[in-house]
Order: sequence, then structure tokens, then C-alpha cells
Amino acid sequence: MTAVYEDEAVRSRVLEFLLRYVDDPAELEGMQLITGGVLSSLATVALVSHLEKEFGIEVDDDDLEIENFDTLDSIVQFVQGKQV
Amino acid sequence: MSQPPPTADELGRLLLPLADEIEAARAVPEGVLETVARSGALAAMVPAQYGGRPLSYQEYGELNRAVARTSASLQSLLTVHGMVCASLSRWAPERTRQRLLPRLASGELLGAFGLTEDSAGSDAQAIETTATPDNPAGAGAADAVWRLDGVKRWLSFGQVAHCFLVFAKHGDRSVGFLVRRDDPGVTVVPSRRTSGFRSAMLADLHLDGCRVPADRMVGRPGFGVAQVASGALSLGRLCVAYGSLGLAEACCDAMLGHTSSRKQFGGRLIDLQLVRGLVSDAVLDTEAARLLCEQAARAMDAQDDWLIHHVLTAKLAASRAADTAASAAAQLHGAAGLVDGGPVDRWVRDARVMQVIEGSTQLLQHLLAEESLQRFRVRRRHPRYPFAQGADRVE
Ligand SMILES: Cc1cc2nc3c(=O)[nH]c(=O)nc-3n(C[C@H](O)[C@H](O)[C@H](O)COP(=O)(O)OP(=O)(O)OC[C@H]3O[C@@H](n4cnc5c(N)ncnc54)[C@H](O)[C@@H]3O)c2cc1C
Repeated sequence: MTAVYEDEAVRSRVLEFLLRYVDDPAELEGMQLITGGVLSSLATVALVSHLEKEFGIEVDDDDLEIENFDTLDSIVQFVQGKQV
Repeated sequence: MSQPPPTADELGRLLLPLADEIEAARAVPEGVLETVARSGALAAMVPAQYGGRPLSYQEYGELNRAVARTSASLQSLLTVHGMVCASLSRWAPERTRQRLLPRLASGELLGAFGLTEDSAGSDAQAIETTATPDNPAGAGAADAVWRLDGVKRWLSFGQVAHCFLVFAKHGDRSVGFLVRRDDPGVTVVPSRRTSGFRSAMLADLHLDGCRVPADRMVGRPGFGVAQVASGALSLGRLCVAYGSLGLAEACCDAMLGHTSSRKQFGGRLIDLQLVRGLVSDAVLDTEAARLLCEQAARAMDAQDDWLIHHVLTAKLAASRAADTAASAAAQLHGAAGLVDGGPVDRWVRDARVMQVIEGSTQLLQHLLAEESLQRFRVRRRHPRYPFAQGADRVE
């Protein structure tokens, strides 16, 4: 069984992962990660695979919408939705 | 399929006598393709529920290594067919998986990978092939069709593949599609001949108003290059790393065999110190490449957080080891190493290719530096985080 995390816990875990891509955490808040160029192609692959492993969720082909992964908030929301 | 895939050594033994035939034909003869298909190697990246015989990445890597000892050209079939199977298994709609994967697993269909274009080599995001919804008025979602226009270059085994995973742009968003050879608007033309990988049956794929049903979209717009192709490239790079390792091993064995039997100056070549320098450097690089290949395969099997980093180091090190070993083998064979079409000459030409495909050495250096910086950022915040070894996130 994979634990279901509260919003804040999801947020801090996703943030922890994303911090490897920036020198200043402020670069993540409210930033468009994919369309804004913070995450490269390889980083996007790493993010999806990290979310699956970290939260025990499965990202399907129809989950691949930019809107699900483009901001810290949307990623948190996406993970929460998947965990329900 | 009735029997499990062969072990790497079994497949290697089966193919070794065919090396010269494959090279001379500038193609992989039909019979050899059948041998590979019958062996189950083409089913290795397909889940069992779709008729596959899945192997771990370590096992698949070893198959690639064994095949490359015979023919790097043939090994590249495992690279691209594996990439197509893995991408479809992961990102194609269920209907398409059910329809195509069992036939790809059996080898009835061969898959090729179409990313490169004139405008887009190392810079994959620069593709110009377009994907446009092309639906007659009144058509329902079930009949949705996309139109593809563009030219894809250098598809390994494109000359004989039955289907092609191609990447196109819908507006500024990239998207993958599975195109079949018999789709309207598809023309396959053999590519210009290359000196290395000369039997890899390279083709250019012309898509001219090619219409494909929407259920052959792989991934979603925005994620074609960023997820589907880039994910497949990790597998591709692992295959090229293991293929390079096989090539390097073959070179080391050949130079050890030759220098221990060839006599000059009253003794064996291998007893000369400068010769030992060349041999030991080649062996050292080859053994180091093996460790990095194994580490990368283990990281992929464990879905390690740093698997991309490990795959990059393996591909970089192994393709360089292949180059070092092939150059040393050529040097130590003297004139015999320059015989046109001979194995040593082939290894030199094939080793060159290993440093270009699936990301050139310089592109990979660029990406590895980026990955290293990411890891450094984690270490900076968590001083006990290890420098290298794959480890999960620090609590
Ligand atoms: C035998 C063979 C098989 C192939 N099979 C396939 C296939 O099946 N499918 C497919 O889609 N493609 C295939 N390709 C194409 C291959 O992927 C490209 O050749 C490769 O991506 C490099 O692109 P390019 O040749 O356009 O070189 P370019 O991108 O023009 O690069 C040329 C050189 O510039 C330097 N360079 C490039 N980028 C950087 C950087 N960021 N930093 C520093 N230096 C850099 C490197 O030295 C590089 O070698 C194949 C090619 C060959 C030779």
C-alpha cells in the first residue's frame, strides 16, 4: 500500500524534487515549468517517473496534458487527484 | 511464442558465423531477421499481457552486447525496435497496443524510430514535420484523423520496417504517431550509404499528406519529444552503450589474439611494452564501460531517480571505449587491420557511429554536466547525499 499524502506533504515532496533544477526556490513558485523552459525534455521524463515512484501512482497516456505538469500547484493537484 | 528468449550467449553463438554475410550484403538477410525474431529478442520490451516476453534492462543490455559482437548494424535493430515497443507499451492508446504489440513481439512487424530531420539532429525540438487534425465536417470523435507532412531521415531498419514511430509538431507542441508503411502518403527511400552501420538498412521516410487515425497518437501534444521520444532515448542510449561494450570486447579479444600470435623482432607483439600500453588502455576502458552499463541497467530496472544520469555516463564511456578499442585493434593489426570489409575495419567504422547516434558525445557531455549540476544542488542542501551511486531522495 502506498501512503496517501496530505496536500502540504505532496507539495513539499514535489518541491524537494524540483529544487534540483533551480538554484533559487523562488524560480519555482508560480513559474511555468514546461512551457516556461524550467524543465528540459529529460527533466520532464524524470519528473513523471519520479511522481509515479514517489506517490505510487500511474501516469497514463491521457494524463499527458501540459496543464497537469506546468506549475508546482498543478502537479500537486494532479497527484492528489490520482491518489483519490 | 513457445520458448523463452535465448540467453545473450546463446544468441551470440547463433549469430557469430553470420557476421561476414551480414556485412557483405550491406543488409541483414531475411533469414537472419527470422533467426532474431524466432529467438524472442524482439519481444523483450513488450509486456506479457500483449504477447511479450519481457526481459529486465540488464538482460536486454546483455542481448545487445552479444549481438553487437557479431554486428553492430544488427544490434541497432534491437535498439530501435525496442524503443518502438517500449514507447507503444507505455504511451499508445489501449486499442493500438492490443492491435500492434503482439505482432511486434513476434517479429511479424518490425518497428523503426523517426525523430531526426534535416532541421533536427541533436536539437530534437527543432522538428518541422507537421501534424494537423484533418476531419471531414460531421465526423465523430471515433473517426478523428490526423494529417502528417514532413521528411524523417536516417531511420535504422527503415527499409524493412512495417511501422514507424514518428514525431511531429502540432502548433508549437510536439506529438508522436505510429505510422504504418501502408498508410496513404508514406514513401520509404533508402538513405545515403553510411560507412559504419552499413547493414542497418537506413531509410528516409517521406510523409506527404499521410493520414493516420487519432488512436495511433502516442502520448499527447506537448509530450512527443519531451516525454515519449526522450523516454525512449534512455532505452536507446542503454542499448547503444551495451552495443558499444560488445564491440569493444570483440576488439580487445581480436587484439589479444593477434598480438599473442604475431611474431616480430624475434618475439610476440604482446611482449612489446608499447603494445601492452595500447592493449591495457583498451581493456581498462572496456571494463570500466561494463561497470557503468551495469549500473545504468540496474538504475533503469529500479526506476532510480538518477537513471538518466547513469544512462548518460554509460553511453558516453562505452562509446568512447569502443572507439579506443577499435583504434588500438586497427593499429595492432597493421596492414591486416586495413583490409576493406574485414572485421577490424568494420569495428573502426561502426565505433565512429556509436559516438554519433542516440546523442553525440558532445551533446551527452552537455546533458551530463546538467545532470551533475542537479545532483550537486541536492548535495549542497543535504551534505550527506552521496556523490555518485544511485540513491533515492534524501529524507
Ligand atoms: C547509422 C545511423 C543510424 C541512425 N538511426 C536513426 C534512427 O533510427 N532514427 C533517427 O531518428 N535518427 C537516426 N540517426 C540520426 C542520428 O540520430 C543523428 O545523426 C544524431 O542525432 C546527430 O544529428 P546530426 O547528424 O544532425 O548531427 P548534428 O546535430 O548536426 O551534430 C553534429 C555534431 O555537432 C556537435 N554538437 C551537436 N550538438 C551539440 C551540443 N549541444 N554541444 C556540443 N556539440 C554539439 C557534435 O559533435 C555532433 O556530432 C541515425 C544516424 C546514423 C549515422
